[in-house]
Amino acid sequence: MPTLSRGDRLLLVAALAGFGVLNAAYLMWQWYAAASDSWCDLDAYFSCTKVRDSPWSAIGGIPTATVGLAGFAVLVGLAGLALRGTERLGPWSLDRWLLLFALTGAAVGAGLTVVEVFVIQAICVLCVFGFALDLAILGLAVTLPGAS
Amino acid sequence: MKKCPVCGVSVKVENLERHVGNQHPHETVDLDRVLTAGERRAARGKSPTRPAVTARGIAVISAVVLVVALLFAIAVLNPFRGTGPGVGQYAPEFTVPSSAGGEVTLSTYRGTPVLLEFMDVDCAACQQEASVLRYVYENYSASVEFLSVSVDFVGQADTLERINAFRTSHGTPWTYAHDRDRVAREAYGVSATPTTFFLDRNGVIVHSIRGSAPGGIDAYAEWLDKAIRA
Repeated sequence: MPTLSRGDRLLLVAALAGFGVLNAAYLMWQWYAAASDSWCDLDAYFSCTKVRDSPWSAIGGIPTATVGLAGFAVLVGLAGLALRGTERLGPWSLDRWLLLFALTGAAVGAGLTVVEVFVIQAICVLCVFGFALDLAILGLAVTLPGAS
Repeated sequence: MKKCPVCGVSVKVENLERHVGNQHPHETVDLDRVLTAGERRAARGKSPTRPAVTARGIAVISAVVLVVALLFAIAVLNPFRGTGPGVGQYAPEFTVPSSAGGEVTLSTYRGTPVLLEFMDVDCAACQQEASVLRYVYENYSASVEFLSVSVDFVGQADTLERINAFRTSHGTPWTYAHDRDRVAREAYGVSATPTTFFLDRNGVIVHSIRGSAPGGIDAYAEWLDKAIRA
């Protein structure tokens, strides 16, 4: 995206991460509040119910979506700080922190997608949506250091 | 620190310009007269430079936000799923393979109220609901027909053998059927299991519940009583 300024990219990261927070919060709510219902099922393969009912949907009683919620919230915070003109946070530049969290998010998303395809053998479209947001944010974070 | 020339509050030199702009937007203040050249240089050096957001960027971001919001709404609301018949409408007719052998046709139940459940053998909520329905059946089997139709929603593909095993293990003696070709599922717009329809003796829908009945046995009793009285 050569035509977008650094500020544009940061704002886009914040907007996409905001959607990530919304998506993860919805997945989390579904895990807690709608456990007696099936949902978001297109067919037996594209089935959020099957993914939610699998042991991978929670770790120690905490829904996996909580990790996504926290990660996306951190990305919103980092992008917000960068938009306010903050350049460094502790030992690293904000660009580096953003890249680290975007990379971690994309790696976790890729891992969970592999688990969905090969272990659970069902795809939750909202999880894929979250993974797509991860990848888009990673793409933006990679180009941030060179943007003016 | 410098005193604001408008309100007199002490403000950091590097924040003075922003303070005047934010707090006194209608005042015209010549900061060149308030700050020395050295103070202004120092202030510029300390003040963070906010990255500029361009008009083109706003347009691109707005378009992206719109598309992402639309995709999210489609994923959550799933508007492509069928809506199914509503209360007061005749229950759509279907003929599907029966767990008892042969086929079962809904219209053969005319003359008796029907509890029509769409379920899946692998659906955890359906398994829990089976024990509730068994109790309801014990109280209403004299006046209501029960029919459970597997719509093969989640997990392993349902077969008549698996459905019969479910029926036996849950002690639910009524007729089960297998909507192998998704005829009933599409006609009723089933998008979740269990989904339960309450039909009166004429085959008119009195009520429907998506998911487990929130009030458990009482909810089933309430709507079956209404179906019987209708």
